[in-house]
Amino acid sequence: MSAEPLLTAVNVSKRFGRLWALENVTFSLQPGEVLGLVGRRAAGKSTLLQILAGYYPPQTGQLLWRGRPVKFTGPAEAQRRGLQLVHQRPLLSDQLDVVQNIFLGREADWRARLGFPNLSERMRQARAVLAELDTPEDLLNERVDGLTDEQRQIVALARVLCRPAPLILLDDALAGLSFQRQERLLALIRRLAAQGTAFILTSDNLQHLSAVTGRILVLYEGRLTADRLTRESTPREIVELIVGSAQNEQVTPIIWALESYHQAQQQAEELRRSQTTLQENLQARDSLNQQLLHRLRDQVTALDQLNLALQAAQRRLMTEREAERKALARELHDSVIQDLLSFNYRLEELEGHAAGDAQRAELADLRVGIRAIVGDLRQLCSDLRPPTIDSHGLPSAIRSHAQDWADKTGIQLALEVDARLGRLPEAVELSVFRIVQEALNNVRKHAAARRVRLSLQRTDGASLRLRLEDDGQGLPQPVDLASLSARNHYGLLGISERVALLGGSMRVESRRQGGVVLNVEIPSPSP
Amino acid sequence: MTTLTKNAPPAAEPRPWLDRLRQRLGRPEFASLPVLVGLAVVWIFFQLANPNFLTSLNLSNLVLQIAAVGTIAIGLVLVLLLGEIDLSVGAVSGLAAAVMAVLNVRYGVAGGLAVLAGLGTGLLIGLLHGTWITKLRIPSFIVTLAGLLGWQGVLLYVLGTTGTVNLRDPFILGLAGTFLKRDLPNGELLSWVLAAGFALLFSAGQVWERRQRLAAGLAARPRGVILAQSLLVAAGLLGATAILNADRGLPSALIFFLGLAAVFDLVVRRTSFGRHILVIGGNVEAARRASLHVDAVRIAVFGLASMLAAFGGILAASRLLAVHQSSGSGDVLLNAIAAAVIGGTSVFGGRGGVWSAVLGALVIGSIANGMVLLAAPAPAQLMATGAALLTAVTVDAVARRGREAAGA
Repeated sequence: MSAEPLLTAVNVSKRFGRLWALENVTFSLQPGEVLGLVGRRAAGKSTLLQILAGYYPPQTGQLLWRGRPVKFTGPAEAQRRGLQLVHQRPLLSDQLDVVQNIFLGREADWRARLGFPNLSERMRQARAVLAELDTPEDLLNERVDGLTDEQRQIVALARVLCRPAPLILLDDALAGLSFQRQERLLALIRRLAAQGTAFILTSDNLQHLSAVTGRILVLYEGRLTADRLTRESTPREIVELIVGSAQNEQVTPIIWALESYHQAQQQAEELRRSQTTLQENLQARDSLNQQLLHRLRDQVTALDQLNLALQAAQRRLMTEREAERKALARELHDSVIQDLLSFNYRLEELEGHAAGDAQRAELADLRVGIRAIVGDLRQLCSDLRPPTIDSHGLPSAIRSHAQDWADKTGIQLALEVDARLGRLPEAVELSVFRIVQEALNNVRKHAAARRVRLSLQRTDGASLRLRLEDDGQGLPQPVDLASLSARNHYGLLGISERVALLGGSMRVESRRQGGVVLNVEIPSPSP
Repeated sequence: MTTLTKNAPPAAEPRPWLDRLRQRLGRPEFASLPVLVGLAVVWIFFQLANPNFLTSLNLSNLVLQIAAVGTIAIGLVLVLLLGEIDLSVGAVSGLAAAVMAVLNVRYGVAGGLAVLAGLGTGLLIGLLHGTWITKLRIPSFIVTLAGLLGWQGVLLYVLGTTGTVNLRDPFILGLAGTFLKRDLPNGELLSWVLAAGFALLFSAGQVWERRQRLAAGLAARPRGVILAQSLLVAAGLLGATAILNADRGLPSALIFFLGLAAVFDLVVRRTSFGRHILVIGGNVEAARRASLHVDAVRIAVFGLASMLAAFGGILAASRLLAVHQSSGSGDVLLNAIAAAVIGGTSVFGGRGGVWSAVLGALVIGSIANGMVLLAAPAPAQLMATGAALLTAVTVDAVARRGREAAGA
């Protein structure tokens, strides 16, 4: 221990109103010593530092500077003696630039005071400090009102570190810095201390304090409760002292909090770094996404084309099938039926020449049988190819089919066909007819309906709207074509396929009061 | 490779040249441009209304008229930069002139000593105000309002029953009333040397500062700006000298006024004392944290302001050849404040400069002078001055908003 302390505080007290912020604080500090000052919030740390830095005089007690009593009239006086304070929250002057802020109140000599500072020397010092704090020197040309909080704290620190005073007070000044800069600053503090600069620092981070301090003072509710050598005390002891022994149950969580603080900060730093990486990755990802999108679009286009081809094939298939049916119907009508009829005539002749009644009756039976076959064949032909559709068009075909259907099933059918319908392309007429056929077939098989309404309209948008409404038992809700086809009900599925081939849309509603409404709309069918 | 930059919004600048112009005009070099334009407008208006306005005789009278108020306004600018106000400058100017006059005329004190006594009176009063304001923490508005009333009372007391003291001392009368061409041998040459020397000094200072900053690796003002400013200053000085020399020559009052303006401009812009004024005016707490002598600077500024007010009062007395009961009262204070503000000094502290006192005094003096030439009644003159003040403040506020909007 050297003989004369740099600074001694004797029974320093300070009162704000009725509250004692500091009570009889006594300690001393050797040159080059690094002293930690800890305590809870409002324990008096900042008050003590501000009294030392001359912000206000102590109410009672005395400060000794190099062994002699001093009374600081203000921060300027304290600075003149060699004490400088850096606050937790930096405050700069927007009136000046960054360099002027660094040297504000620190003019080296009369030349600087008259406005002719040695700019090159200033810049050299400022650059050196910024390099120590790992800060780009672009900062020196920035506008003060555009600085971030960390940059402001760096300027405030640079103000003190450019020409270190014998005693530097740091009031939690590391808190605003990034983790790396904190490490740099701690290293700088160690180096300056080795050269004889004393420090008093407050911090909530015990790791910082144990990294640089030789001694730690603990303030508890304005009183100095402990003065420990750092190397002889554990963080747990310090925290117990900070919290006060009366509240032992609180100690553990606070230790936990203080110890995890450091880790949390490291993690925060890690996070910040990974955020930057993430941002870079995101940009790369962006272009990758674009590529994927392109590929997806290509695939979708290919799929579309495939679909179109498939539809075309299906349409061709359907047309072929209709043509086949037509040919088959004609074949049946023109040869088979005609042949049967001629057989019928020959039997009729035979009947005239027949000998016995028994024989005649036999022949008459045969003829009845043949006529029944012809009738069945005619029905088959008409099913294969509605006979009226080619000659009289879709409305007549539907009308005749509907009439036929109603007669056969005994279900009442109200038919409404738009007079403006006219002739449509053959494929469309056939498809619509088949749709009607299939739909009525469905009603007959599944609906158990008593009354059916069928309407075929041409809309203002020149599309064709088919609406079939029954009062049957309805369908399970929601209507699902896949599940219907799974139960071998292909009717609706067939209709939907035909509608899709015509580029139209189909809607099936099952009404709550019973019955199903089938809506089919086919766009612009007229040629 | 496709990137998202394609989708970036189009630059939302419908009139980029306007923004660029605004940004440029927002730079500190152009801070006094609105006042100069205003001054030009005032001069053109009065010249069109009365062709005698821009004559050598009238302009000589104009500079004599503004020297006193302008000198007071310099001190007021210092106080305003500090973020304070001094309402007592008018009363102090009258009192200082009265002290000088009474000492000289009644007690036979030599002119020079009497002037020094007047200046000392001002300085003491200012230091008293400053101490009161800083140590007792009473707002400057209140302390100097008390001063305005109190020192006027002291003025009446000093003058005694006579009420008016006529000045005859040649030194005192020569302070404002010396014309270089008329009263000095080689005075005309001297005035040219003074003007040219001042212009050269200005340019050299600018160039030197630029070199220093560049050598230290700091951003410096563009060469073009320095050249333009130097040319403008040289043209103004030499032009004014030519005009004044066509009449009686350069008046000493103007030399004092401009000399003081130049000195205090350097003080504010360059010296640490001046910078500390700006910092304290901008943010007192920031000044404390930088360990500035806040109280000392404040007291010194009030002292300087009162001393400048005293000198202004002495110049006025010297020009009017007498001190009387209404010296320094009336619109002296208000004109000084108006001059500082019209010139562009903020009443909220931290922003402005000493040259604003010169430009503002010129504007106010021109309006007063022109109104007299037009034989306009006092109401019109007051209204015109008020309008000029409001316009100046409005232009400044709008320009600042534009600057902030442009992000400069």
